[in-house]
Amino acid sequence: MYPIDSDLIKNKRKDLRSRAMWVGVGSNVFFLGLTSLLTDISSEMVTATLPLYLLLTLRLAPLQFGLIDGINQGASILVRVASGLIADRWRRTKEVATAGYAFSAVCRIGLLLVGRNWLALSGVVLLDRIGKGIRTGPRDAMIAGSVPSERLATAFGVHRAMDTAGAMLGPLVATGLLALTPGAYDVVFIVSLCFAIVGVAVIGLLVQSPAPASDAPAVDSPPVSSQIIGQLLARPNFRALVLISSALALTTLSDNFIFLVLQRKLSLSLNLFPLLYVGVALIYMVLAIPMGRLADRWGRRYVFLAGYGLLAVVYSLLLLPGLPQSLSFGILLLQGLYYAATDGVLAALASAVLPEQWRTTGLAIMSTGIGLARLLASFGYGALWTYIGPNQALSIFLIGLSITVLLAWVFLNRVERNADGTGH
Amino acid sequence: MPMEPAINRQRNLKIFAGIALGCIALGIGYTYWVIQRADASIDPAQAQPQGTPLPIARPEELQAIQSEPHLIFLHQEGPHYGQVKLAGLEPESPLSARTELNCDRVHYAAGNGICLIYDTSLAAQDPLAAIPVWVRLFGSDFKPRHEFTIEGIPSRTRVSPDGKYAAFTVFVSGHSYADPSMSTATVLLNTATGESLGNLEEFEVWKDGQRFQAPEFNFWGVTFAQDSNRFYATLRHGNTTYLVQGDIADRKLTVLHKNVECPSLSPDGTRLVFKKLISAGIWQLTLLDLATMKETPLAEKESIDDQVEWLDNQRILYQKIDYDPPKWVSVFVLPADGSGMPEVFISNATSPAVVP
Repeated sequence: MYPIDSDLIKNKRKDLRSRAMWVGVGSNVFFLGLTSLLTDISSEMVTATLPLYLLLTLRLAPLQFGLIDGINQGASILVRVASGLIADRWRRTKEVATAGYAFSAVCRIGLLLVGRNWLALSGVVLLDRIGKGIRTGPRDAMIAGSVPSERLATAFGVHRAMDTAGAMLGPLVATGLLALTPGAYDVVFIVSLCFAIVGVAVIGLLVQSPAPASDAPAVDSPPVSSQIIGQLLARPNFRALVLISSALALTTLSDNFIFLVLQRKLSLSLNLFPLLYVGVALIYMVLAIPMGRLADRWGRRYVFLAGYGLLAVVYSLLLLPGLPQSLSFGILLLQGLYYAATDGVLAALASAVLPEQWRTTGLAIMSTGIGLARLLASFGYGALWTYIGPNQALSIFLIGLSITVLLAWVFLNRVERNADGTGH
Repeated sequence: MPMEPAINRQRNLKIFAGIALGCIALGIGYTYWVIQRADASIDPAQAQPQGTPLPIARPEELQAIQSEPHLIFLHQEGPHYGQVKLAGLEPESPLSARTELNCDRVHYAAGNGICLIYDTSLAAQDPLAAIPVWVRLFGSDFKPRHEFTIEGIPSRTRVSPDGKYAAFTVFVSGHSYADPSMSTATVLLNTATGESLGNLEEFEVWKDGQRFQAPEFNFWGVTFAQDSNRFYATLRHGNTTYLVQGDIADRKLTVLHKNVECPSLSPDGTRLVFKKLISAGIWQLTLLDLATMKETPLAEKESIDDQVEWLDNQRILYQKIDYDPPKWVSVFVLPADGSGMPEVFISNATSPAVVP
C-alpha cells in the first residue's frame, strides 16, 4: 500500500517547521506576502515610471481629473464588496483573489499595447485598480484563515511588512532598469509583467486554500446580498469595529498633508519629499511584525488604539510653534509606528469577530467604510485648509481624532474579548 | 490547515519553478536585447535626427544655435519628455540642441528664460494636496539663476522682448475642487533679481474712464509689447472676460475689449491673436486689429486652448493635439489673417518661443 500516513506526518512536520521559521505564521501567510511583494514591485515600477499625473493634469482640467480619480476610487470600492460576496458565497476565496492578481497582470500587457494614448492609459489604470479591489478582501480572509486566531495580528504583520517591502523595491527596480536602458519604457513594462506573473503563480500554485473552520455548507446562506451585509452589520462586535475604523479614518490626514505641513514648518527642500515616504515605509516595514506580535500577546485593542494615540501626538507636534529639525525624524518614526500598530492589527481584530464563512465580505465592508471616510477626510481637510488655514484645520482634526480615540476606547471595551485573541 | 496530496504539491512546485524561470529569462533576456539594440543604434553613420537620442548640448553648440534665429520648445516624447530643446529657424538649418532643463511651460527672450514645472514627486500620491510648482528663471546657458516654489497649476508664461520682465499665470490650488470656475494668479517678475513686481490683482483697474473695483478679479495670459513696460492680459470679472492693457511703471490696467482670453501681441505691436469663447469650453483663435478693434476668425477649425506665439508678423504657432499619426501634442503653424490651413511645425512639442 501507498504509505499515505507517513506522508501526512511528514507534511505536518514540515508545516510545523515552516511555521516556526516564518515567525510562527506558516508558509501560507509567507506565500501570500510574497504574492503581494511581487505584485507591489510590479505596480510601483509602473507608477514610479509613468508621468501619469502630469499627463492627466496637462491634458485635463483639474476638475475632470478629480472626476476620473473619483470614478477609479468608486469602482474599486464597488468591486470590493461584490468580490467579497462572490468569494464567500461560492467558497472560492483563493480563486477570486487569484483572479484579482491575474487581472492586474493582464493590465501590464495592456500598458504595452496602448502606447501613448492617454485615454486608453487611464482606462488601463482603472482596470488595475479594479483588480486591486477584487483581491484585497479575499487575500486578507485567506491570511486570517491560515493561522490560529491567537496569531492573527502577527500574520497580518508579516504580510504588511512584505507588502511594504515590495512597494519600496518597485521604484528602485524601475530606476535601475531605466539607468541600464535609458528611455526604454517597454523594458520597465515587460519586467513589471514578469513580476506580476510570478506573483500570480505564487498565489495560484503555492498558496493553499485554508480549510473552512466550520463544516457549514455554502447553500444555507441568505439568498440576497443586502441581507448578508445587513446580517453582518447586525453583529454588535463587527458593527462597532466598522463604525470605529470609519470614524478614525474620518479624522486621519493623508500622509501627503502631514508631509506638506512638515515641509512648511521646517522649510525642507522639496527634493526631500520622496525620502519622507521612504522613511515612513521603512519604519512601517521593520515594525509591522513586532507590533503584530505585541498585539497578539498584549491585546489588539490596546495596540490599535495606541497607534491612533501616536497619530494624535504627530498632529500635536506639527502644531507646535517652533519645531526643532530633529523632531521631524521623530514624526516620521511615529508615523511609521502608527501604521505598524493599526493597519494589520485592525484586519486581525475584524477577522476575529467575523464568522469564517463571511469573512471576505465583512473585511470588504470594513475597507469600504474606511475608503469612503478617507475620501471625505481629504476633501474636508482640503476645504478647511483653503478657508480657515492649515493650522486651524489641523487643530480641528486633532480635536476630532482625540474625541474619536476616546469614544473608540469605550466601544472597543464592549467588543468581545475574544477579538483580542488573549481572552478565554 | 488542509493537506493537499503531496503529489499535487510537488507538481505545483514544478509548474511554479517553470513559470518563475520563464519570467526571469524573459525579463533578463528582453533587457539584454534592448541594451544590445541601443548599442547598435548609436552607430553615428546611420544616426537619424529622430532615431537616436540627441546628447545634451555643449556650451559651444548652444552658442552656435543661439547665434542664428531659433525656436525654443519643450520636447514631448519619450525619455526626454519635458526637456527644453532648440532648433534653427532657417529653412535648411541643421542645428538642434537639447538642454538639461525640464519644464511644463517655458518662454525665452533676449537671453532670459522662465520655466514652470510641477513638483510631481508628491502630486502622484494624493491629487487633492496642494501641488508645488517650481518657477525657474534662467539665462542663455539654460541653468537656473533664481528659483522658488508656488502652489498651483502652471498655465501661461512669457518673457518681455528685452528680457527684463517675465510673467506667469497659475491656477491657484484649493479652488480647483471647491469651485468649478477656477481662480488664477498672475505675477510679474524682474528677471535679473528674481523679485516679484507684484500680482496683477494689486494693480489699479480702469474701465470706461472710471476706477473698476470688485472683490475678486482673475488675470491670466500676459503678453508684452516691445517696450516691455506695456503689456496686455485677460481679466475675468464674474462671467465676463476682458482684454486689459497694462502699464508696469504706473501699476495700472485699462479695459479695452470684451471676450478676449490669452492674447498674444504681434512683433510689430499692431494686432493680437487671442482665443475667443464661442460656447462652453470651445475657443476660436481670432485676430484683433488694435487700431480698428476689428475681429477676424483664423482658419483653425478646432478649439484651441493655448496662448499663441508669433513666428513673424504673418504667422502664429500654437500647440494642438496631433491626431495623424496620434501623438500627444505638436506645435502647429497658421497664417494670422484668417487664410490658409494649420500645418505641423514641430512634432511632439509644446510651449514654443521664437528667438529672432
